[in-house]
Amino acid sequence: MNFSSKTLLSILILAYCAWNSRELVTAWRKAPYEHLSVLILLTWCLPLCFMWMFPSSEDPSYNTILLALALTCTLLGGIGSLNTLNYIGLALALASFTSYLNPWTPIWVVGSLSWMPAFSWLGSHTFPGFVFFIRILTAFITAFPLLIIYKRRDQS
Amino acid sequence: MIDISSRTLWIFLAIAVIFGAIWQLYPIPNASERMDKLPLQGPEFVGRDVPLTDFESSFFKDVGVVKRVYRIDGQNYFLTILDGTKNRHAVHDPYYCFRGGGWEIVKDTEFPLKNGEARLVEITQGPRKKTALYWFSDGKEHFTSTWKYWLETTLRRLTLGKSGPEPVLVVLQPLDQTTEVDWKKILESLNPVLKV
Repeated sequence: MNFSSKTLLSILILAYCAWNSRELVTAWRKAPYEHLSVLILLTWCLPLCFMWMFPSSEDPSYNTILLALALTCTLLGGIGSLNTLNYIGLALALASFTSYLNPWTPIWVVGSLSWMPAFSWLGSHTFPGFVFFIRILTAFITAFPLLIIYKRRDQS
Repeated sequence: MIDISSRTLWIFLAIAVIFGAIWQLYPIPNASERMDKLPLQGPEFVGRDVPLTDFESSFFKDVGVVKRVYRIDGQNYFLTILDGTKNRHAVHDPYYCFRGGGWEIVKDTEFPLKNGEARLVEITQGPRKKTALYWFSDGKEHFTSTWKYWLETTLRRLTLGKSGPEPVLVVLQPLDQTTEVDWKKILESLNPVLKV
């Protein structure tokens, strides 16, 4: 398969995962705890934004294991009607675009829980007054180190 | 590093799209039969259906809803029952809804029922004070664990309804701003609600 076909496949899987995560947009609009949560998702996506703005000169190699896991989670989330699984699938699909894997990548992927409504549900029970702050902090401290790693790699 | 071939992923994507669509379109039985059996009138209560507001109609799209006011022993009680068979995401943990709506939960206790338990909460918002009793029911068992609700409903969808009946959320609260409610007596009077 040539490069463009692989890219198309990755984008289609991402689109499938994103489509099955469309309830996230409804939650942002209607759920009180989810107002401004799009900022948390964007914060978590900082390393991806950097990679897309400053692509590596090497051919991108999408992580096929993450893509397969993304498909599995999204399929199970869809048939089980469990949005959190759909969102995990979306996070894995997005993470599959990070061609340069390093020890911090799994931590960043786990940090994706910060933008999922399940985190604010948990927060409503354990830290009700600080839900947004804890979520955006989690997204930031998991994404920022990866951003620095990419920046340093790009400069080297 | 392990690598999965593009061909395999293409096939997996096709299976996921087709299989997922068919599975989600398969109609599974809802809880309407149980909810429809709840009478409007009885020896110790009289009730009326309350229409959904525009916001509720939108929020509870595809959700089976019973929204009623029951008059019991001279007091009005608001009853909400939600069946999320077609839209499980609209049925939330009441804690999440109360807190999200700006209410603070000042008291939270277990309330025993014949077939399980309910949760009795007292909530405040500024000078306003309310109490509410809620539980999940699958027609046989009453429980309050949101994890159990998610597990049962997810399993039900994975098995196309074969794992058991759909649990519904039942919330009962006085219309007045009072926290002095003899819930045992109320549930004895409105006994049919425990059979939903």
